[in-house]
Amino acid sequence: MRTLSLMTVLVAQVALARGAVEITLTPADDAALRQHIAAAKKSAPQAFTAVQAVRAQMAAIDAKKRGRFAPVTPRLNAIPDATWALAEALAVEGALDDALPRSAQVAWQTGLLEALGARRDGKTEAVLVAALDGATATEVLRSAADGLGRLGTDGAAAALVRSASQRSGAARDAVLAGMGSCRRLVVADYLARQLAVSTAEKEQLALIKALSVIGNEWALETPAGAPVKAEVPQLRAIAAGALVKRFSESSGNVRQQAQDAILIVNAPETKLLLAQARAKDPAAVDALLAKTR
Amino acid sequence: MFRITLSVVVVSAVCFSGCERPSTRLETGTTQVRIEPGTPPIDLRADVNRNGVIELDVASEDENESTWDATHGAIFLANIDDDAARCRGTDSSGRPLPDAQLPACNDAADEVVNGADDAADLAPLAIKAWPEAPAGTVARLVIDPNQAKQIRLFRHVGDAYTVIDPELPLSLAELQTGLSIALEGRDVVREIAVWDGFVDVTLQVTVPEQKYWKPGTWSDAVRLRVAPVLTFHHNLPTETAYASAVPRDADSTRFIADVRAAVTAASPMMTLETPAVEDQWTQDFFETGYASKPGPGGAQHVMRVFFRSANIENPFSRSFPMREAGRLVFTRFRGKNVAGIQQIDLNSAEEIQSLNSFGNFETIPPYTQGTKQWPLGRMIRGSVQGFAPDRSFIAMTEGQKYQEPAVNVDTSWLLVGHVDETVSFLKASTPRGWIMLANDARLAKSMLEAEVTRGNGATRLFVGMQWMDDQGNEVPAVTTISALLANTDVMQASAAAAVKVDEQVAIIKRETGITDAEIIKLPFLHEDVQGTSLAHQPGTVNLFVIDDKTVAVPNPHGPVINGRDLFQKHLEDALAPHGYTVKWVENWNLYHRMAGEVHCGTNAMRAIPSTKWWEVTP
Repeated sequence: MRTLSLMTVLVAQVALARGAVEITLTPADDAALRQHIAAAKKSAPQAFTAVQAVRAQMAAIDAKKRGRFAPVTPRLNAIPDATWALAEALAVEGALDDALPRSAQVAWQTGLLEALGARRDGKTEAVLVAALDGATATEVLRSAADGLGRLGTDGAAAALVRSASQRSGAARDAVLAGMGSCRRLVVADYLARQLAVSTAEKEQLALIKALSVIGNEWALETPAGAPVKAEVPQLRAIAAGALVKRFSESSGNVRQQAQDAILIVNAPETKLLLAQARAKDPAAVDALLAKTR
Repeated sequence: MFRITLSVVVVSAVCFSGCERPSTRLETGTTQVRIEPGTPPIDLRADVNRNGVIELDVASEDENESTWDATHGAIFLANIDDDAARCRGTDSSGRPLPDAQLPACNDAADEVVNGADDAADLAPLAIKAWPEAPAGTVARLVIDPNQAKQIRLFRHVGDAYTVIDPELPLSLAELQTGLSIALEGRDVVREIAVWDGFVDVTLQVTVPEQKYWKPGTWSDAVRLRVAPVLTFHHNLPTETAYASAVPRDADSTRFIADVRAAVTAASPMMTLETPAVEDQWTQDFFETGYASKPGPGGAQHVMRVFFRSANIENPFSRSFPMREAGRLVFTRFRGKNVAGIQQIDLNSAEEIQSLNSFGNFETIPPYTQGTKQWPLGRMIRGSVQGFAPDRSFIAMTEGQKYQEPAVNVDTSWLLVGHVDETVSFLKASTPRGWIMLANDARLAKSMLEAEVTRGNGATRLFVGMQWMDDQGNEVPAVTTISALLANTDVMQASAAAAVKVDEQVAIIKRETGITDAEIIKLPFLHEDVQGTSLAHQPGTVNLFVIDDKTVAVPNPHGPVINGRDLFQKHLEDALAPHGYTVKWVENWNLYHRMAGEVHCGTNAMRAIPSTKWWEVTP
């Protein structure tokens, strides 16, 4: 019995490493989820059929992939009224058949997480928080943070900060890299503070990526770009401040990525911030200033 | 040993400037006729003057024969084609050969010259006859052991070729009557630190004590270089196009029909090969190139080359770890005057596998930048620290030297990570001879915003396109200009793509000197998948350059304004001044939905450039 139990744990760990997501909901959240699913199956049954069709084709889609992973997110994004069909596939149906390659599993799970988050439906927060807590594979963890972040709710922001704070190493980097989609001040503050003290290059790159997303100029111009419109100016200012500081204090790839992120954010404060940082490396700052619009 | 050899070479060089011959001389005051011994006329020849033949009595064939540069020096091919079509992809039981064994069969793999075509791939050498060579003279062909591994020497008598065992001396008769030799390259340069491609063949002759010739060891050395394998750039017209025919796939059939129409429009003589293979990424699993040596009449004697991509597809398979479709390099393409090459590090990381696809190996057309010249073009690929292609494959391409070092740009931000997702090159009647195409998401956004301003925000894009395949429920992809501009995730990815492509373009401008006036921006937006970027609209820069007047481009399915697709019109108008006709190809289902476009689904064997690589200083 003890052996069986150990075996079960090992099998579960292997599945998680292969991209599966273990979702544990409170009884109340579980009941709410099932209610939403049941209602959606009546109002939008075609969405469930469509999501299942993608799931059924994952072996074929994976076999035709060009890069590491097949792009499943665009297909799922295109399915109308599919919030609860996606949530069901993620939280109720679980992983694909173990016989499928890891790449198929990762593509499916990341696609579900990103597409569900892209619906920006706060009612899916419990599922996405549970996914963030239950994901192990770094690719899936990043997408879980990204998907949850897109909700932009207070709960999502808090869960992301908690998750990043509790994790370490590659798992923390994955959460950091994904959480920039949560365009909230609390997240921006957290990312900026972490970048200011970070010493590990991979972590710095994850934070820079996240700040380029959270302060992304074009995204923030869209109607759903920021859940709280009043926070937009501060989001960009915080991102720009942290990025300019890192740019001026770093070199090599970190500096290059910070430079790109500064241009992506393109905050109104950028030129002033760069001017203030100019003393440290006038040539580099001037070159970047020439690229700012 | 080195010093001795060097000194002998110097002596022999003096000899060939004006050889002494045994001569009789009347010694005054005596009655004896004394014979003064002459310097042995040791003469090994190669095609130093690069006219494709050995000339025993032409000085330019002999001058500076032990050195090699852009003005002189003999050349040989790696004889790794299969002129007699002997090689099979299966063993004697009909089972597929393991990946590691597949390249092993080629014309250089055995000690036989397989017919006239095979013989033509060998480099000629000759020992000039020394009829008076005295008995007891011992002649050998000496090659550094590291270089000797890369070649094979044949004795060529009549129509017969027999291997010369370097351990054994040549016969006295061969020295006296002269000997034709054929040098066969056994491989291309794989890593320059291991072998730089040069071979020095030395004829070493030990003359015994006798009265006619000076005794001692004499030698004559020639230096040869293996031909590099070079890739094609878009300034060269297509001769044979390729597109995978995916079995039982109607979208593939449609795609091929469109590509065929474009190819035929370019030239009715141009062929389109459509290998039946499940792998639709025809651009990725093989790359074309060529190697050449001087042929008679100043022509290039050419061996076409197909590279197999260094993609690991089945890491846990001992026998078949590599991308399966790449086997076509050996099972379909290798043959008469066509070689196959495979180079892979089976320990390379899973994360970089996509970078090893050949959509990430492109060639910038020829240019000069300052004092640097790239007359055969220069490789460009996505490669940054920590996200770079297979090291052993790169070592091989760097070993070819003439199109390296590559221009490396950052593609790590892309889902697929290939350089052909964002830039391409076209021949043009400009001082440079080519222009660059580059994706510009900023332009796409501004064009769409302008249409909103004009009241066209409700105009639809992607009309009739679907996001599912035929077996599932089709989900319309249709959207509107306003909806697209309001899509947070598309805008987020597009803003980042605009900056990242700017960075790529800046590097290419710095490395080539190309100016903004020579760059055509192609508008399409991106989307975010797994934290990386992917063309949301069909990525028109990922096109197939057929020749200098025809391009096959993915149909962008843009908004139709005043009866014309906004993005089709933009591209046609941009290319028209350069004389190009745009052939639109339907690739939404087969390629765009799977993170690729037309270029990803096609490939080309192109015309051999008139520029001879050996006349170029790398």
